[in-house]
Amino acid sequence: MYVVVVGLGEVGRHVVRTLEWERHDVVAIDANPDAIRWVEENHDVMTLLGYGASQQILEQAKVSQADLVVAVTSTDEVNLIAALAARSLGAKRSIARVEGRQWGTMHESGGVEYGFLGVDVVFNPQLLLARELAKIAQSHGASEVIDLASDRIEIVALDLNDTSKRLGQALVRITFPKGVLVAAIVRDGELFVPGGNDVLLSGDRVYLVGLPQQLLAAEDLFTRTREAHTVCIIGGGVIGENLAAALARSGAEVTLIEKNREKALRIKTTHPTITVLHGDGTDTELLKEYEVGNMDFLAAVTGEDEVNLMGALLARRIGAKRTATIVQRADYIDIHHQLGIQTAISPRQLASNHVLRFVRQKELKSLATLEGGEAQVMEIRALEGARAIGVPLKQMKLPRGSLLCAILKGEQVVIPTGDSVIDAGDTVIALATTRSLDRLEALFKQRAF
Amino acid sequence: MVPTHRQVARPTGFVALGLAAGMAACALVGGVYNTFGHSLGPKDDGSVGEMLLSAAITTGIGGLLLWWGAPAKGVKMRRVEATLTTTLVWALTGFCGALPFMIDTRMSLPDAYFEAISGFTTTGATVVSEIEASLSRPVLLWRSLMQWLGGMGIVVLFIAIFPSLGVSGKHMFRTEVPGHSSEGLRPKITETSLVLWRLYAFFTAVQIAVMMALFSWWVDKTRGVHWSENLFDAVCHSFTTMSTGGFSTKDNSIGHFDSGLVDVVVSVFMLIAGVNFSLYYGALATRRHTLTNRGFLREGLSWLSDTSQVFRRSVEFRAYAVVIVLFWALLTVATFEVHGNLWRSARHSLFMVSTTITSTGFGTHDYAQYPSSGMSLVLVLMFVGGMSGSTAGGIKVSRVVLLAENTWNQLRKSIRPNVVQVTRLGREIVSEDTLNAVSTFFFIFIACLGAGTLVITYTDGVPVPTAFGAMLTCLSNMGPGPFYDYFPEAKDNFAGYTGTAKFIFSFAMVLGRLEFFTVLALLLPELWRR
Repeated sequence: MYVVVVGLGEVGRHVVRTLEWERHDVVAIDANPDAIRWVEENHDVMTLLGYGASQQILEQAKVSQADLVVAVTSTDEVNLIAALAARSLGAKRSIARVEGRQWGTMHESGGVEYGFLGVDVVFNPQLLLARELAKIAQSHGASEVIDLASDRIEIVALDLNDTSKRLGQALVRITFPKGVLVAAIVRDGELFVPGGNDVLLSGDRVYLVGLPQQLLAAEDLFTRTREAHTVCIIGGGVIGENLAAALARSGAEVTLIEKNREKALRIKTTHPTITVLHGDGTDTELLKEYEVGNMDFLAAVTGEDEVNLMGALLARRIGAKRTATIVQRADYIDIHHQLGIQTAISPRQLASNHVLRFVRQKELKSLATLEGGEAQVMEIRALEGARAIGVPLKQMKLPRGSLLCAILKGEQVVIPTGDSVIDAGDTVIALATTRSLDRLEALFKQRAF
Repeated sequence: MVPTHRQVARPTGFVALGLAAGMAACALVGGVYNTFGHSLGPKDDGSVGEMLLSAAITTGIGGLLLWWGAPAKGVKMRRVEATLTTTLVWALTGFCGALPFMIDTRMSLPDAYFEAISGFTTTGATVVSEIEASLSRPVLLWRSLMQWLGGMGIVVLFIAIFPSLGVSGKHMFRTEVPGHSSEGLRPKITETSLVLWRLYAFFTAVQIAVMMALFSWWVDKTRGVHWSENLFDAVCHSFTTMSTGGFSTKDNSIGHFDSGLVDVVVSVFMLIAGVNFSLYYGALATRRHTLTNRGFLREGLSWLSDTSQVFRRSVEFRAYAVVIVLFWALLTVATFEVHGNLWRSARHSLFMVSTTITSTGFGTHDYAQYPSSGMSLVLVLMFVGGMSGSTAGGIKVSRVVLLAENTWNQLRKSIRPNVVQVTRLGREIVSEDTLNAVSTFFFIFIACLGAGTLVITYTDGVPVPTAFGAMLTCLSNMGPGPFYDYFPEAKDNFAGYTGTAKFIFSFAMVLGRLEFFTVLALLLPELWRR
């Protein structure tokens, strides 16, 4: 696949790195010579120095032959114009990142808009992030929530600790609600797909997959946590405001702390149901006074990593149990987990993951990566004549380390059991570790006679 | 910063295996000719077996390196390793390439090493006085094949064949491709390398066909010679023309054929090889025109103008063309007396200009009778060299253009210090860093030339102009040419020099081929300190 990436900020670099690794042809454009030099030194891709929205540069990058153009510079207008120009020059698809609130109906659609002004996909990572945080707050203790198949299926991650239930029980002995499967377990940094005899231990991270309605009940099997009724949000930026609005809509009692008085006032004006505090989120007295320690969920979503980290840590100290932060630098996520913060999300990683979903939209759609790429969740179309067709699952020899999470038969979603049968034309959502990927794919390829 | 040796061993081992395959191919060709009743050369039989023995030894060396080396997959090579790999590959090819000369032709190690390095670096200088009488057919083919492999680059070929190198391949590519900047033609470096090698192979094939046609119908000297012998000469000479190498299968080089047509054809292909290969790619990649019956002529013309625009737009190409035409005219005038008439003078001058500017080193006649004005024209051309990204040696036209432009700017600055100036190469603005690198390159070139001359006068006691000429011809990868004839018994070759001098010359050739930085950077002490 021929991909042109405009803008080599952190998102651009991450996209370039992944694409190079997957052996796509990549041309990277940036106006900053240093960024170009960095990519030249570290990646086997072609680079062009210049203004990404200029027709000349795009022509030089041969966008007319491109399968995908990704515009992720720091300026919305450049991204939109580059994506539009690329389309009019003959690129097959284009995707642009925007950060401002003025573009289309992004706020209602949850961060992604298709076909806006003729650009195939326009997305706002901050809104996507707010949506993901809202889902986590509404779950029963999940630290990660991933939507699949346009919200019809979800994957959630649960971090088990000493207070979790059903530790040490074999998975076969646990009765899960219909339509939920244990997809993977991460133990000591290693991801595996469990069998019926495996048990769960404290410290494990469990990935559950299934229908969203059923997942809450499945989460209850392990945790005592309920959806957050009282939420504290530190930071009233785009993420904070949208998160607060989403949670308030679903009936939670939301307290938002914002340092800037004007901003605080504006949020209160537009969202009257939210309690808005004017103050510093890292002020222990303030947190104590408004009993943040007793709240169900705390999200620190300011633009500064230090403030987020300190706010979350202080809240933990006065008793908050579930905390979430956003981290600009993806490298710091592990440290956040070590410090006891359940959820740490990097907006840039989220953005690049989102971009990569569109890259992979061909024969094999990768929908999400787990644990930094150790496993992938993907969508596979079962083609006529593939070995996987017409055989009950229990007789199918699935490679170790892979799992069929769901079968989409038209509009109907089936969470497979041993007796389920895949028909030609079905779409299968599967999870596979990197090692078992090829063999799983082979099951769904047409047999060559 | 100490490079990981095992990481370096593996690619080097692969290259050795490739060389072994090349030797085996030469042995096979020799065997086929032998079977159909052609002479194998001075020793007649035996050469095939000896070539195979060399191939076996090379396979052994390659196998050992592969066995010892760490798998390259997944591990990212840093620039240090890439640089070391390229240098080691070139040192090793010299040794492996020397095996046939040692085993078959019974040369001494310095002689054989010199001959092999001269082959791979496409210098074309030789230690063999009587080529036809002392080299067997497989060895003759091996000499030409070495030059052909070294022309576009062994490492570039390696990158083209192994697609999984990623950014390490990019670093290695930069260490071998000549010129002040080596840009990628395609998003992946593997594809860029493949494109270059394909173009190179294509031009070689065209030349073989043209030479074959000439030999079959127009050249008197090849009448009555069996077609398969002509094919052998056509292939060998095409290999050494496109690589701007200059090894010949004949004692008198191209002069053997004594034909104006051959001279012109070889000149044209040498000049083609001296052009930046990315220009050919650019010309091929221009908009394709649909050739309809109605506007056939018009479409054809517009295609031609689009294609030629790629060349016309390149400042370096224009400079290259101007230098060629100018020196051709000057040399024609300067050597008019020697040749007697304008046609002969023009014909030989064109050949001389092409062979010198592209650093090929073929000869058509005795240049010993040249007046000194003609000699100095040749001397200047030896410095200039071909274009960046070509197979030619020398300083490269683009560097000369940049040096001239920079000098002009500096001169102006010395009296008008407030003038803001930008150095350009066509539309492209050249950064300070690049200018610095170009100036440094020029300094290193001159410094190595001086130091080398000094050392050779010590080791061999030859006159300064001779040592200077010999050193220059090695550094610019020119090979045979005027200036270094000194030993009466070894005319036009390096046989008379001592073993030490031959190793120094070999080192100079590798320096010139890899353009100094790659090799000299490895001498930095901080690289080897733990």
